[in-house]
Amino acid sequence: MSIALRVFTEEWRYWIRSRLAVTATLLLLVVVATAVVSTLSRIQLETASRQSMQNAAEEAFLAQPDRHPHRMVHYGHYVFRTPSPLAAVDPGVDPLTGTVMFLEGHKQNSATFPSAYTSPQVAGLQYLTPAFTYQILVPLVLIVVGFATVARERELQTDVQLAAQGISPLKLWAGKSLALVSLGAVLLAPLAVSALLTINQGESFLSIAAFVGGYLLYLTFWAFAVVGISARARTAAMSLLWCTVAWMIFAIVIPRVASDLAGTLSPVTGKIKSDLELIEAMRAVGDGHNAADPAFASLRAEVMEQYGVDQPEDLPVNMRGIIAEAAEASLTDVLNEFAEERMHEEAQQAEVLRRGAILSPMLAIRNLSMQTSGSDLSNHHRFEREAEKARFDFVQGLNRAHVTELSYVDDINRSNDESSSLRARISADNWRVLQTFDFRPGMAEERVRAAMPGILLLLIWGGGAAFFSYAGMRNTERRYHAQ
Amino acid sequence: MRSSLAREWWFLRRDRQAVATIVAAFFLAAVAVGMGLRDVALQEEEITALNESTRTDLQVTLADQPDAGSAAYYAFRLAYDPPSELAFAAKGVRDDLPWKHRVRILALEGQIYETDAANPELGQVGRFDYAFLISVLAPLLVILLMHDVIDGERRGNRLDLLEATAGNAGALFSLRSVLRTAVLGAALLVPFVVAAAWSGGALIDIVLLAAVTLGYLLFWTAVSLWVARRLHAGATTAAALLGVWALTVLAIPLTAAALAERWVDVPEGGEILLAQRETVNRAWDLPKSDTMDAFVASHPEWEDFADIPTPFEWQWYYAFQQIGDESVADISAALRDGVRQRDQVMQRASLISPPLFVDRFFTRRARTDIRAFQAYDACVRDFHESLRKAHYPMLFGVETYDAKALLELESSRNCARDLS
Repeated sequence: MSIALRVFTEEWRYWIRSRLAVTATLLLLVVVATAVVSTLSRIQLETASRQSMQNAAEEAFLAQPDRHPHRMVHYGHYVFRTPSPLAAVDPGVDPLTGTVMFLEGHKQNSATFPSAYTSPQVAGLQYLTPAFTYQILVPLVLIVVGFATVARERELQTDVQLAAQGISPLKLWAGKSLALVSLGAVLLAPLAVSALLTINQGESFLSIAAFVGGYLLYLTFWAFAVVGISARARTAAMSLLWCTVAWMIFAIVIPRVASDLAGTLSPVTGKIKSDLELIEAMRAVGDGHNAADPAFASLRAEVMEQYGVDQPEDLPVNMRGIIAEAAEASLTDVLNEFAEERMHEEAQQAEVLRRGAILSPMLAIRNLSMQTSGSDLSNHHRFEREAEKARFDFVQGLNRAHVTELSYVDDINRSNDESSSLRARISADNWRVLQTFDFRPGMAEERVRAAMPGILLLLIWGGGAAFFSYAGMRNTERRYHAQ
Repeated sequence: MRSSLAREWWFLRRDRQAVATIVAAFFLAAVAVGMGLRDVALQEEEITALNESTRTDLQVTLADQPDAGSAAYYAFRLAYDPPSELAFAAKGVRDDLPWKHRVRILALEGQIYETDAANPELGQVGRFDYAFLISVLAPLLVILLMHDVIDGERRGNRLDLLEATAGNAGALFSLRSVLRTAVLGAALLVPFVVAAAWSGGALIDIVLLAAVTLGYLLFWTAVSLWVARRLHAGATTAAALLGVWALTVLAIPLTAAALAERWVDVPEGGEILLAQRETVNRAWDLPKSDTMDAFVASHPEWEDFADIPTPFEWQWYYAFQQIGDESVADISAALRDGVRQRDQVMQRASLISPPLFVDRFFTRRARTDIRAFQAYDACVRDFHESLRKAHYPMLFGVETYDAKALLELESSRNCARDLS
């Protein structure tokens, strides 16, 4: 063990003296710092601006004057999606998903204005976020620092001398692997610190631990893989090449091909197409604006029978409101059915991509990272569902006021002249049916549970890489013994 | 010359690592092109289906509308930007920004930002299209092929001998490198050219893209050779080349993007939406003449029809929709301007980042870049405007309501026809 520790210290000493290793590491730290600071400030700015617009939207709604209640149904409301605290470290799908959604009666709109709408078009490799840096760039630095660990000893034939002095290949392997794994851990520090800082924004320790732990496993995978390739390569140059090829395949080619395959193997019905299908289905539901629509004939009869009257004018409640309420409810069932279908398709498509983690540890860490930080697709779907609930609640609140607060006779005569139009209004106090919309990511336990497959896969990947590199050295050791 | 070429060809065929790299390049290109074609086919299928159902929907909807106002309220039409012949090679912004819209003549600012985008989880990883393969991965393939061109000889202890006997060792290495690049280029280009020709890409575009690709590969070959002749150890060479790659692929574009966002401010999209809604809804509580005066100011031809005696008239309703758009026209134009200016920053950055240049070149030729998106956006606005103009005579009662005439208006607009 002390020999392995000695190898470990010597390797670190070698790196500190190596211009290549020091330059690569320093450059990386600059990039990491830039990514952390810029992403943090971007997400904080976005959070602040979305929250202030959310407040503005609520104030505007409550400040509306006395009106016909249905006018408020179409005045509608805006909800904004505020990112989760850990999204400052891994924004995940945040830049690509809409941030603001218009809520109104009879309609589910999509979330608009993703930040991609205004972000410049960069060649292929998107945003510089801490997550991107650690998933793609840190492995590259581990390669540049570590490709020669074992291979250079072999190339200079110092490994034979070391063996002669009792430093067996396996001890060499243990020391060198430990050195590169520890480098990975050191490089992880900025990520760990910025993740821990999100505790201030209310992030739970559990999800931070899973998040940072996942990255530690991921970098450990790369450290072992690099030492393993280095142990098997003929020369240091070959080692660097094979490491680069492995990086290209695992970090770039497989994830992207998987993304494209998911897109074509498991296509999703587009929003417009599903809207058109929905309209088809909705024709049966009837138009809630039109109380005479035959779709509501039985409801009309039922209500009048219940109150024992012959015409809607004699009802103590407003028939138009009752119909609007009933139409909204049955319409929403159809809308939700289609929305759930679309979300299900999207989730399935994402699942095809996620399964790629079996072939690429980068996909494993990416899944885990977005899941624990609450910036994955399922979080966006949560937003869509909560927005829909908010929509349904305020629309039905207004429809209820329509039923109880507005007389049917005033209502049907609202377009006769100015004064009848004024009579068909209800007090602005009724606008208080609007609840404050406060979107928060899922519970930490849920997120970590969703990330369990990722943790497991990363353990397998890390263990596999450790075995791969151990086996490489064991072969060398056996060769020595055979000689 | 021919005998040197034959010799180098023989060397190349025996270099297992080089052959593997070239075969892998061909395979990757075929995969990228194949998936791109499939994606484009799916988009075309979707457009055909959308065209058809829009038409049907319009017929059914218009059949039972009592007046021109309700007809305009319920009639949605389609605008779309079909994938170009070369879109299979460069997806550009089509996954993230809209290329299809359902619109009606209500305020457009409330409709045009609706995005029927692809699954964000897929976009988050990024796509593997041909432009990405060329601009980002091909340099790495060149480095794989080249790093050993000189160092291999040095390691085999042949370098000194070669330099002494070959007369001009530089020419020898150039020949070897150019041959390798040419073969790599062919492996990468054959799938692209076949697919581009098959899908009907313009000859000039195909030639230009092939030329840019080859030029780009030669650029990386030259860089590789230059570095290899200056640095001695093969590993240092490869590491230095990786550094150049990271600088041009990552550092420059990402820095430029960050600067573009810092230099060019764009309005918050949410503000456009909120402001537009306020104007539209405030109209209900204002005297009708306020709305109609503002409307007549921009549409003097309707001056004689601007009197609204009753609490509700459709022409008034559509007038305040129009005013809603006009009230945010400035901020909406500022948003588009900002996006355009940010793109111009990237354009300038592409002059010092060859990968960015190549990517932009591909997306430009494939009409999948920001400019193409903005042209499409303009086309949707134009379509909306023409629909408004076509509806106004019936809404103002100059013409009698005729559902059939409305049905004969364009049910969908193919924006590619306008753009080309």
